[in-house]
Amino acid sequence: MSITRINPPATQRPFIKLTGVSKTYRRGSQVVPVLDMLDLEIEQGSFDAIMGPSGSGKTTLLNLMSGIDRASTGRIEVAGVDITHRSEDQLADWRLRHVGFVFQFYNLVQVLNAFQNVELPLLLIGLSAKERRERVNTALALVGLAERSTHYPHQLSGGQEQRVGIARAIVTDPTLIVADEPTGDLDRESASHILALLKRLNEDLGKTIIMVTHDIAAAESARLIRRIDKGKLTANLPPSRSLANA
Amino acid sequence: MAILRLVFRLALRNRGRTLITALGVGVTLLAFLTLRTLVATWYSVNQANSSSDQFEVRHKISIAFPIYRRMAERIRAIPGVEEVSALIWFTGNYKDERRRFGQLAVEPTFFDIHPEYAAPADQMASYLADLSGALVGVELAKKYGWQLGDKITLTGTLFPGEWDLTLRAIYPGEDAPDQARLYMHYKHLNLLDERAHRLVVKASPAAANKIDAVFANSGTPTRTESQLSVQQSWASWSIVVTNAIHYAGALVLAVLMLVLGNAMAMAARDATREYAAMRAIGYRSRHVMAIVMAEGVVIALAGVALGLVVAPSALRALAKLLEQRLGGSWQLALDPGVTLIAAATGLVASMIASALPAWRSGHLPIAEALKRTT
Repeated sequence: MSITRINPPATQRPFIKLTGVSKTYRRGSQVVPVLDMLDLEIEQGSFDAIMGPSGSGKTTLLNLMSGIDRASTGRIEVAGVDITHRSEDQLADWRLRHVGFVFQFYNLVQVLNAFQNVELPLLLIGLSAKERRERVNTALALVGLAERSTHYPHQLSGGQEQRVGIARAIVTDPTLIVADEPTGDLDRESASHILALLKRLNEDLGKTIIMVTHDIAAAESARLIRRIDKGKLTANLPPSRSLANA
Repeated sequence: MAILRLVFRLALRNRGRTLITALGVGVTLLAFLTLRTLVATWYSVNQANSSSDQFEVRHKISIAFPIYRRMAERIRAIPGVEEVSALIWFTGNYKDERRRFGQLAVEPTFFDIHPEYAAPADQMASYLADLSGALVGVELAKKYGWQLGDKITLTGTLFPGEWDLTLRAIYPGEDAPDQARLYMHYKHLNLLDERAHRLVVKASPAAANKIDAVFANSGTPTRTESQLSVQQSWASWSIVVTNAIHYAGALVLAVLMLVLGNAMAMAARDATREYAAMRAIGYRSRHVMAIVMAEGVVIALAGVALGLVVAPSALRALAKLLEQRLGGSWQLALDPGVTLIAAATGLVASMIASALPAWRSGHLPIAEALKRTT
């Protein structure tokens, strides 16, 4: 198996490229703008944090880049693939192969144990039971939960649940990992473990990670902090300068 | 296999709710099965009664008006008539009001026309030789534990008084549609005017057609009906009953769909974020829809199995209740065809009931579903 190191690309072509992306929601007869003609480029192997006040559009931006929401206008390319006009099924297949998701509230299936939760995406790939077992065990070992594979979510702490969530995100060996407030529901100590884990995935395995967070301390784990406000990117800063400006 | 395990685990997510839903499905399926079995039994009894050379003569105006045994001689004189026999409904009570069963006072010739109600030869001879003798169906004898030679006392309603009969014969009932009748001698009633409710006739159709003309201008005009048309008029009434049962069956199915639909909607709502997360990590809409529908089918299957396990005992209990309340012999056996229809209907209903929650789970925008708190 399995979870491979991704080497930096030979060319400097952006891994994620958003061009003129806008997103509006309809609330009754009212049209609510969330993102406004946004241009953005993210390199492969980067670890970016997106910060901004509530309602600034950071989660929407993450959803668009990960293909679980659609832009109202503009174009989104990930690893050279235009995901803007793909069908729902094509997007589902693309997400399965290329994107790992880490959610704030973990979103584990409560009636499945840690092993079965991590195995979930692999059920769609057509691997043998043995191959699936190997991959799941590797992913669980990577997040330090090999001994807890038979535990159910309610038998795990919040930090351990999130580690199972990360194992589920990496088990398909995606190039991109998106994390929406991954430490938002955790105490400080658990949060630092999760952030260290994400950093390892980025530094050791070369995964591109985009993390939305409110927490400046969490954002400090990233290589670059992107600030967004009222649907527009306002600044791209390295962590130390961002902290100084906070 | 792993997907199947996932479906089972999801179905058991809330065990209390799953159990109650499966019970609900089981009970409604049982009700549906019972209603269908009643209808199937009803039709099979009516078909078994059909015969083309058996006719019944009654008063033209109504069966409430009597006809007379002496009229049999004039009917017998019509060429093509083989046999005529007087019949009267005794309508007595045995021990108490609730224990009713068919009681008919008939002439010996009745059994030439309806040999399906005749007992073995030695018992038949014994019955015919005893004016206070009784001949009963095997089910009736079994029900009351009667043995040959036992005394049976009926309290008459149309013919007041206590009527002591001696059980002389038991008809096996293999060919008889009703195995819970009691026959006694017409003569035992000692009716001086020799009235009857019906004259039972065995004749060719052409001969039967001439009977009413014979009595057209008499004080007792008649109406002759074939056994078939009697049953058809009975059937036309029974169509109303069976239609009502069919409607009740449809209502039962609607209840089943509501019970299951509600449970599935609750289950799907509880799992909104889980399903959204599954779709985010690569499950297609149709995968999630299939999982939700399979969850409904698993619950319905449990309910169907429960209903089928309980059904034989429930039908036996219902048959007993009907015998107590309505009299006669009720053979409510679980028919394989009816069982198959009920099981298939339950499953189809469960799929229909799960369709909407499944569709919603599969099509709710992922980003929106992930934000939901329940």
